[in-house]
Amino acid sequence: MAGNSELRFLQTDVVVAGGAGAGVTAALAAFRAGADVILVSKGKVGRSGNVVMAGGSLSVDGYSAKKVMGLEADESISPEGWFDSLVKEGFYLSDQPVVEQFTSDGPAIVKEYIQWAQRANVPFKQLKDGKWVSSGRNFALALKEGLRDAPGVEILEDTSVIDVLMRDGRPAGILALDIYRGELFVVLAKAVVLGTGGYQPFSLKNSVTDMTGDGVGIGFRAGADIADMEFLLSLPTAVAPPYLRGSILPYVLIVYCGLKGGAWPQFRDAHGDLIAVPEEIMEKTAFYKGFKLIKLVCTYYWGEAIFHGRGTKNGGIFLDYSRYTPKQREEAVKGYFSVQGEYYATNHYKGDDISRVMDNLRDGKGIETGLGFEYSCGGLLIDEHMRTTVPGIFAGGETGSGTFGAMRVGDGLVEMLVQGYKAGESAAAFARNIEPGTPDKESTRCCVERAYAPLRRKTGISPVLVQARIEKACDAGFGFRRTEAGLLAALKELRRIRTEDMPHMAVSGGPRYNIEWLTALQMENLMVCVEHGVLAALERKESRGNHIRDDYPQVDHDTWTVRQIFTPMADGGINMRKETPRVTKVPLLRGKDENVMQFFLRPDLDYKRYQWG
Amino acid sequence: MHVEIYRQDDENNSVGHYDIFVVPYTDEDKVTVMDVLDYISLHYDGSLAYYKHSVCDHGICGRCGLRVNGKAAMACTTIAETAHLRLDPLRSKDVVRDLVVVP
Repeated sequence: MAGNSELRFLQTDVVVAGGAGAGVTAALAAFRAGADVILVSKGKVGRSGNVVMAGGSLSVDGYSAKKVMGLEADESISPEGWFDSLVKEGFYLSDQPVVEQFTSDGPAIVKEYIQWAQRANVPFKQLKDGKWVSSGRNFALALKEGLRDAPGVEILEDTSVIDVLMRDGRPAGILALDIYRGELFVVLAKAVVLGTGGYQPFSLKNSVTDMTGDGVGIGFRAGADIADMEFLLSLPTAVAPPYLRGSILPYVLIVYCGLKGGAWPQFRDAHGDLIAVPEEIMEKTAFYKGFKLIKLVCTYYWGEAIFHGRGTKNGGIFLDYSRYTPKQREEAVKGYFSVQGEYYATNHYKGDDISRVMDNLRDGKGIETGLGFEYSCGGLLIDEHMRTTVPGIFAGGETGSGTFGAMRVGDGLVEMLVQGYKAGESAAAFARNIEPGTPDKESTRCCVERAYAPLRRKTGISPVLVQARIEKACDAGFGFRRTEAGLLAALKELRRIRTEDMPHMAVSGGPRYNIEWLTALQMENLMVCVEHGVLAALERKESRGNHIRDDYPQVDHDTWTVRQIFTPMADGGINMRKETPRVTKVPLLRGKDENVMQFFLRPDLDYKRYQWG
Repeated sequence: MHVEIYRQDDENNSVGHYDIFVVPYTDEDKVTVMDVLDYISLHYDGSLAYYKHSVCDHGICGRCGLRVNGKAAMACTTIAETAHLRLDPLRSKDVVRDLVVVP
């Protein structure tokens, strides 16, 4: 390659970044459309990405379950109902054409996905109509099976995409790092799909540990707009004992001990005092169809208690089942295992031994639980064809934005499948009309220099420490309860880290499997995400979905039914605009609600979740 | 807790040695071997190589294999329960660096 003759390079039509749901389906769709495809995955396909962390379930509406998938299903639960609940659960910030693509294209790819699972002989349990439950590992194995339908796709695993290389404002390929060999190389391509997941800047998270917003940072550096960065979904997550920290076991316990075992916990603070949730809220949100709003109920009420000093030293609260008799508690445990026992070793959830937690539950002891982060609603601004604002760069799944607006309640698994597939189709069509070319020398040189810089700098700050500092700043001011002062403090510290620490990130040792080096490159992406996320959260002087302001608790539909979008500036400055979401079917709301929970109680919301509990 | 870790740099044919770190955990703390490695990486030596990219941390992906006191185990689900912990790379494959073997 001109100017960078030391880098080896590969050539293809479409290069896909990401080895889980969005990446695999994008590669498959582009392959089927006749494109040459290279798939680049940070981990191994079938063992990586947030899909392995899923709880989890996926579902489609009843009408489609019957008509598209040929199942016995209640067809009165329509695609329109599915659409309606997604927009309302997203507090009206969804981009409705993107939601339309989700509900209309979802059933076909879900049908195919279920077939992959059957072929791979991994158990997906069909609960009711169009809903399936399985484990994260199984979800990932089904994807791996699906990729066998695209035998021509070249798969590069344990390889991280670093940047999109440009020519004349369009992508000409990517720069990638082979993690084990410690080698940078180039994949020349006519179109790029980014499906690398979202971003998690907190110390308590239940995503994979390095969900560092790679696709978002890479896309933004290439010139693409980002949106909705202030919305990050949290849910009940283990904080103790240390070996369980980050597990979503508490959430799964709440749901399945309740649903199948008939026992719902009370919530108690560090002093043993009740964290009260109004009866009406429990009935109309937490216990409402599918129990999906329980994540917001816990985030809102626990978050309030923890933020105002009632949390444990681990930042948690307690699940309390003591009001039930020992026999009832045993039933609750049995109820839990009747569903979850199917996928894991005895007394395990995923790979963790949960005997002690279950004994505590049987004994009526409190189970310490915090709020961990799972999913980022924001990301690259995309349309219903998964086009970003840079021609030739496409994004799908958690890397994009607009599906779930201000809060995800619907299925992230469906999102990755349906958007990945569309992104692959769009990328292949785009590539068809493009002649191959080489990236601009200068942009390539800059990307390569930037990538090598921390490796060449032998003294300075460890990138591992930089990540810890970013997490500390975000825990303190950008978490599940926000205030002006907290956000300003977070922004100040993040900018200090960006300007004072990050230019001095240094890596010891050689390039092969150098985690400090990879972390340094990832921190560039994470910083793009958090800085814009905090800016958007500061600007948004209301509460909405997963963005809960202690100082602005109201949901203000009149002023704030807008998406906040950032355009990258050549000089590194901030360019933010506000846009009303595109509406196709569900008109936007007026007025105000007292808080994010009261929003779900307003009579004119007419909220009917498509899913049946 | 004393932690003895096999170190080998990423040059070909390099000879390994052991480094010893003292971490402020006891067997009561119920931390995992991954927690111990993270502590060392953050507080003592960021150059320590252990499987740490795309980590599930809950025994799902199965990629953080190493030997704990001689026995093959996953770092993320193995509880560090001895006062002296010896960590080595898996035997079955060539060492890339420290505790990391070829995938």
